[in-house]
Amino acid sequence: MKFSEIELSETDSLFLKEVRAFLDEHLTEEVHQEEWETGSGHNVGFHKALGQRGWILPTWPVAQGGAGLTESQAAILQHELVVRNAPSITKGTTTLALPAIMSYGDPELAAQIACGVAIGDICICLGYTEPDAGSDLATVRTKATRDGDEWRIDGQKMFTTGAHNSHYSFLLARTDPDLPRHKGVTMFLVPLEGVEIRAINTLGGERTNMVYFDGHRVHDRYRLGEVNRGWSVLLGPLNAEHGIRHDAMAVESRGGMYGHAGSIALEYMEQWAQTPSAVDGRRPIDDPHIRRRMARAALSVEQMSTAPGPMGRIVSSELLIEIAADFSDMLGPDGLLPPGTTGAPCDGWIEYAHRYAQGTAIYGGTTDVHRNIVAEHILGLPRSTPKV
Amino acid sequence: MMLPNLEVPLRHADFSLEEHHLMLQEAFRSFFKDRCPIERVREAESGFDPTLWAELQDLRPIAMAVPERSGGDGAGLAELVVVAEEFGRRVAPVPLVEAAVTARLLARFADRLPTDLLRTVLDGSTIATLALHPGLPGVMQLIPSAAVADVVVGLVDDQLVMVTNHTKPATVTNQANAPLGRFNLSQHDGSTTVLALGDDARSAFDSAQREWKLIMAAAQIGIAQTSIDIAVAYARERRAFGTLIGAFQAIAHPLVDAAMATETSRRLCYKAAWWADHGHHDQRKHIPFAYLSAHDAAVLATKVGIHTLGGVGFTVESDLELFFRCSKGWTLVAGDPNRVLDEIAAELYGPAA
Repeated sequence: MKFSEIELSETDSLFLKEVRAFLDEHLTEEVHQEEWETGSGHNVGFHKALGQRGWILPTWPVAQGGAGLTESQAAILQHELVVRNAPSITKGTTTLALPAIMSYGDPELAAQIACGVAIGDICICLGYTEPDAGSDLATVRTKATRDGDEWRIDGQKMFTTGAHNSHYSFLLARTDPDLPRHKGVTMFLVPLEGVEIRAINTLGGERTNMVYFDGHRVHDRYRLGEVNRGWSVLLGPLNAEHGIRHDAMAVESRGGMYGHAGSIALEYMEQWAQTPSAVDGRRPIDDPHIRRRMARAALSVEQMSTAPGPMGRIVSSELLIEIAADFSDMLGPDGLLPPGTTGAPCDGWIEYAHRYAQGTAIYGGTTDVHRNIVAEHILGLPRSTPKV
Repeated sequence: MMLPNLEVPLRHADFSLEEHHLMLQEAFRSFFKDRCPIERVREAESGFDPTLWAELQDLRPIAMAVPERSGGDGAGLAELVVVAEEFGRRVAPVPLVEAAVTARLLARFADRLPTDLLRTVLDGSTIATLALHPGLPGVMQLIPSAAVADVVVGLVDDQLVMVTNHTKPATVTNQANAPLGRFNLSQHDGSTTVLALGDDARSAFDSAQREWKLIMAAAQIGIAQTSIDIAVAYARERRAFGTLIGAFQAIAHPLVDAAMATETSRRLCYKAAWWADHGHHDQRKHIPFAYLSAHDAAVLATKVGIHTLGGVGFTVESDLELFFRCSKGWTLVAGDPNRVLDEIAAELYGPAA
């Protein structure tokens, strides 16, 4: 047990200063503004600046494009990126896919991709979900058909977040419709040049995409792992995304990402609640009704960043949904005013958070899928979804 | 839009138990497993088993978290939290929470105590309990373990007092079958020792109340965990509609919710105990956080547990019935658990206007 503030070594203190100076220089108001307007989850200039420092794969050796950071320095960097709200979605999908590419890809290709990823020249999106295959991924219908040294990809991928920022899609495709569903699929790293990408805009303001493959040709060297063995290639990145490790209960909380959103909402509301109202001059926090709900919300925010592993993902998104709704209620009619609107309390953040929160229980694997994971992997209950 | 720049310090988030915690956990887990089968809980008359209490003293749970200079073993609240979870896992019919917390309180005023009193509290031969609310003149208070305790400590008229419990009050029938008794700190036939006055008295009492909530929170985690364990074991064996019922999401997902609430609360208990042991006044919010969270977890886990077992869970033969009774039955003596929201608010937003 240990919960104290981390006392940084001299080297680490200097490193923290370096990170903060870097963020002051590169994570500008324009970057935030662009992210706010586009919901892109990515900023090319900022991403390349990170890459130049070796901070996309920060613990990798310098010779391989990393920065050779220690674990503690990497934690400092990650912490600062989160608390400063740096755009990170496309960086996240890129680095999730990379280990599988390194393990299963053609070595020469993998080395080239890793190098490009490290310096910020290459981004990768996750080509999993389709209009008819979401939680039940093994039902994907996008086809890859062998044609000599090449494969022909036909189908549609949906909710491919960051596809418009990416050079490759880490793509799950069906290669043998006659085999059982998990066995007839293969993973590819598909170059996206010439592929049609259309925006899908979300309730939370994030942009995601439809990606259309219409006879798109890919050389066989972009295949990852053996033909029809794609499920095992996918499993590593999928488990990492779901917060599963071998010691599922010992992993550090994944609640962090929504935990931070919860902290921002709480901070805004605490400012609101402790400021005398323009109407009657009374502070909302002195109303016992508001006071107890604020206290309950503070507990919720603490819980959001406390639950471990896949539990953290469920707890943090569901509590974010709850507190955002309750905060909206407390603000009353003004709680309906979005960011940029005159008179919007809390800069409109609560109105935004109430919308944004809904998506957090869906993307990256729904909370329902995560409940199945907890039931089976942690509680040891029997599998609930039919084995087809 | 520029988001507020939150100054978030980089903190350790190490919830792991250290070697000595694990040894304690193992020692108390095997003690309660061997000596406190569920039949013994049922058989304990008025919720107290004096033989079990005497046997438990070999492990020195009351002396454990008392400073060495007062004759204790110098451990802290973190260790007590680990032990209390094991106690809660078996709903053992012994006044562990009250006695351990009151011992820590008495140890602060060792020089005011009659000779040998503290020593006998620490070895369990004198049972000390805490009146959880300040005493009001002429008002009898329902006090945990007052039906079996030898001394009652509490706050009355701005004095922290220890009163000998000469004529032990009869057990008041209650949901938890706990040895609750009615007692009045200012009207009794015992002898009174004044331990502290004014601010000192209030602040010592406040600490003891907070510690009781923390240790009770850990006991509630134990209650919740066993309820989940019983229900999961049942759901892995019971069949309906041609399959194991644990394969139904309508059964599994509520159990997941209970497990999440329990694991989250367990971590909040560790964190609260660690901060309390390290004397950080600005981190006081963690005890009411842990208490409310653990209370909610135990209420949820016992409810889901009973429901998972269906009619069987609702019978008086079901083990879950005992855990259900203690989830509310052990906490409600401290008052409405939701009132701790006021404590949280006071820590975060200052006193109420």
